[in-house]
Amino acid sequence: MAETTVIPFGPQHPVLPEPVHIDLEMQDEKVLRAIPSIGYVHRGLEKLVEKRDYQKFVYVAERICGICSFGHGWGYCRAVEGAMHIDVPPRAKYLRTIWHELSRIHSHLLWLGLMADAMGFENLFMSSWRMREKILDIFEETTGGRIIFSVCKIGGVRRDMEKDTLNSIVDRLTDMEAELRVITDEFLKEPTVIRRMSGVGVLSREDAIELCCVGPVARASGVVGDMRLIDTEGAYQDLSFEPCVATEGDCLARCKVRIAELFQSIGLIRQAVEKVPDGEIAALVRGNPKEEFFTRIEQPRGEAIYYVKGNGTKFLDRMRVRTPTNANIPALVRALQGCDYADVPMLVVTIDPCISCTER
Amino acid sequence: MAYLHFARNVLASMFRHPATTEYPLAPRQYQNITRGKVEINIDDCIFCGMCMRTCPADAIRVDRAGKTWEINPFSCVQCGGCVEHCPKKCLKMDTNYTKPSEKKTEMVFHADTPQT
Amino acid sequence: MKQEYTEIESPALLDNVKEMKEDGYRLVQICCTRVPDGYELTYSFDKEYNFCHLRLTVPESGWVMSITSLYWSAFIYENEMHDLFGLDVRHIANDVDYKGTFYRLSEKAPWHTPPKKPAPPVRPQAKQPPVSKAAPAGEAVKTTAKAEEGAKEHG
Repeated sequence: MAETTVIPFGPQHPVLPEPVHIDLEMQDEKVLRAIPSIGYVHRGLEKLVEKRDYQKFVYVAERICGICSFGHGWGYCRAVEGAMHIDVPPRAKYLRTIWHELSRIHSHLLWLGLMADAMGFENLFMSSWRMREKILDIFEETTGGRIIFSVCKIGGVRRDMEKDTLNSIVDRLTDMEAELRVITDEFLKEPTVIRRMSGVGVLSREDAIELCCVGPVARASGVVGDMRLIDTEGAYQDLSFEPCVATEGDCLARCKVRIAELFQSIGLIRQAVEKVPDGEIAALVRGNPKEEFFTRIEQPRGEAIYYVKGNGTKFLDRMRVRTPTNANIPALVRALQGCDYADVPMLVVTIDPCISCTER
Repeated sequence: MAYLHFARNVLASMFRHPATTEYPLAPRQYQNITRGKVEINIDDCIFCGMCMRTCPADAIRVDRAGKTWEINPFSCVQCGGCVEHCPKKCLKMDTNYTKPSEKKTEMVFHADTPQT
Repeated sequence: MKQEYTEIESPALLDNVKEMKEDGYRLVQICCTRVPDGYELTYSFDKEYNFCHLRLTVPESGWVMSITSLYWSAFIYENEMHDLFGLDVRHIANDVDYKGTFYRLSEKAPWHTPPKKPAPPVRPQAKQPPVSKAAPAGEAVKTTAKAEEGAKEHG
């Protein structure tokens, strides 16, 4: 009987955006078992809520992760607004939606670049990130920061976007669409890329349901679930869209779903800019949260849960974030069983790991 | 077989203007509202302490009696809360970031002492 | 929107979760909150966007049964609860019981102690301005401020 070797993957690895450690029990180039281990970027942010004013904690919440930064700020604000029964004005909902969709575009472009880098296709990595820079310029113009926006606050948003700015955003996105098509076609049609991604890490529909996957990982296996369809805190009720679903369940299907969502987000921003109403951008906040509340939001990586529990003082009792990568790690552990050694980096990147989010 | 159809993009990139700035030889272009660092016009400050109460990172210290306003630029997270809440609008957000330094120093500003 | 939390007892946990699984619910998350006399666990499930929660209170010295036999992906949340809170979760499935090595921490169960009641905030005192030899009292000290700033930055 051949003996098994344990090879450590991470915490430092060229394809990993954030440190995670996976011990791979190998037998002759096949992985038998994968044992994850996290904690390299654990900052104890959920514990910090006991020491920071709940209104000032927004700044901490949005620094949970650099890629999904706006999603965390918005999710935390929604949870506290739900616990305190605050009605957010409609204009603030639309503005938050527009920033969130731009955030989704930037996150998917970042992921496309990382996927290309995992395959060794550096040119495509740089081209994707060059398009992402244009989105980051939009963020800097409208919020003042490229990654950390500091624009969401409890009750609404802190900055407004003029009509001219909104129209110029739509024009710039329309100009970007043609070049985005060239880059995304490269992922979908180039034979070498297809050979690396097709058939790798297949998750069947039953597996995806049993492992409770969320986000593009689940949608690529045929499980339709998109929190934006039931979202009442954003502008999604007034916008028309269908969730992007694929059925093959391999790396290429996940790539197709994310690319489809990229173009869908551009369409959603266009719709939102046409329909954005005038009015206030923030509601007045008085008092302290006394109740508890769960809220769900569709982040670029999937469904994220925010839970706050107030106790009447300005310090919250508990703040819990369950991020989509947290829910997709079981899928990764299952997909790594039985795969080839050379496919391990591809599989780790294909679930879009955001370990800062997972560890908080 | 459609190999090498990214070649057109590659060739275009060779002749296009580079997308990156040659920093630090060329200066970085900031936007108007970039949140770089906090600056104060100390003459207008009334030392009310609103900025100190708003700061989520506890980077600002105000001494009303001694008429000093102090900020630790390395603790500041550039949220802009102090700028928003200042009643006299003497704080503003400069677009340039804090320069790197060997030590985390504070910046202390004193007001004019009144003539008796 | 009112959110419903169904209170259950610890022995009935597996039966309730089995009912959820047979109904086709997806496990969303398991949240552990430290309350003064123990832990409050909230199990959240979702089916076709209906969100519902089971709530369970465990005393500090108590233990809770793992639900990995029904929902294999619960190992993530159960290992995390064990590593961060020190909660005794028993019978996690063999291949995913990481026995405290899932979260790499320098101290065991850092969130075990219940949160202290926060003390009233102490206003930080600004530093007293150092006595300056060059500027006599009454003179505008803006230039001195700049010199101080320069001195402090290089010092």
